[in-house]
Amino acid sequence: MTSLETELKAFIIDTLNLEDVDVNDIDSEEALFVDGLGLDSIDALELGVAIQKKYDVRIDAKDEDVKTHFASVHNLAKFIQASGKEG
Amino acid sequence: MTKPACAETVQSTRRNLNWYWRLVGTGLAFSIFGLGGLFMALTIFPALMVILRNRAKRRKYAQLVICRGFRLFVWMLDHSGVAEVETHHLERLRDATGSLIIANHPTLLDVVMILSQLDRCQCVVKHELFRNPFLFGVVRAAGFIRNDDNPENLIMQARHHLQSGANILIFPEGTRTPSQKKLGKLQRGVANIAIETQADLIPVVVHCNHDTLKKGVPWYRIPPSKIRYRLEVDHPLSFDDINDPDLPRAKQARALTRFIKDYILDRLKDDFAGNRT
Repeated sequence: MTSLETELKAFIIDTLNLEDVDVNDIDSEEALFVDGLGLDSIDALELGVAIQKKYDVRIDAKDEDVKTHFASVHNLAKFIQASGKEG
Repeated sequence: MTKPACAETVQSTRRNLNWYWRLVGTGLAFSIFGLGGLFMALTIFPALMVILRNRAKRRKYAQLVICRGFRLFVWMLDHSGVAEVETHHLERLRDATGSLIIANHPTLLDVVMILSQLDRCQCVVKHELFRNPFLFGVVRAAGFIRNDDNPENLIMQARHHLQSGANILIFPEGTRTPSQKKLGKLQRGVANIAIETQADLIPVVVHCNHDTLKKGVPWYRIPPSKIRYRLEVDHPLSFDDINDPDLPRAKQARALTRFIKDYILDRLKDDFAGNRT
């Protein structure tokens, strides 16, 4: 598990107020939405806005790849790193 | 001893007669509502398509038609003894532009009661209606916003309508209040729309005297007496007054949702949850 993945998990938990979830409860490969962590579309919206702000990445809602980027913490970390503007 | 017993019998017979009358009225109302929607979808709305080429204008007229149709329907409900509505401070809605109208959702008819009072109003409706054979024509013609679209799209549509001066009716619960409860769990959709558009909120508190017309309850299970709605339109809540811009965006949405929940619950505090007969 990379440090960015751990950081992202903490960020997701904090952003979405997932009070009963711990960083260790989220599997990097686990689905974030519907099954897995069970986030809904509004969570996705809020998370998307928060991530764009924190990591200064550009997320285009119309882009089909967005679903892949947000599928899991692992994918999200890869996407942010690829965007090359971490932090 | 005999007198009260006798009076009671008379009253219960009368109640029975009234009950059967309202049962027939309710059945008729359900049929008329569906057929009315279908009729409009096949006549008035296609005619509007032909006459008015401008989509925004067409939607405006469709909304007016819906308002008048609902008004006629509400009149019928009243005169058949099924349901009646009383309104307070409607002028606050009629004077409003570009605001989010937020209402609790105790029964199936809330949207009818509210829209029947407003010549022009946008509305966020559940996506199933777009596939409902009786109502799809109505929701499409009026350009109502689907609740299942992706949130970015929903917010974009909402912003468009608010900027053009329309008000949008939205039920923060996203579905009807469960039976025996004052308020269901609030979704965060309203808060997110408000944050993105900075629109003011106008609360409409829907009081209903019966725990009736709930999800999954068959139409023929009617309450023991006429349904009485009371719509109370409150003062607009300025977005800047109720939002804390210092919080992170996602926390703002949660805080705003909590505020709306507490606000409505406080306004419903004198209503009985559930057995409101």
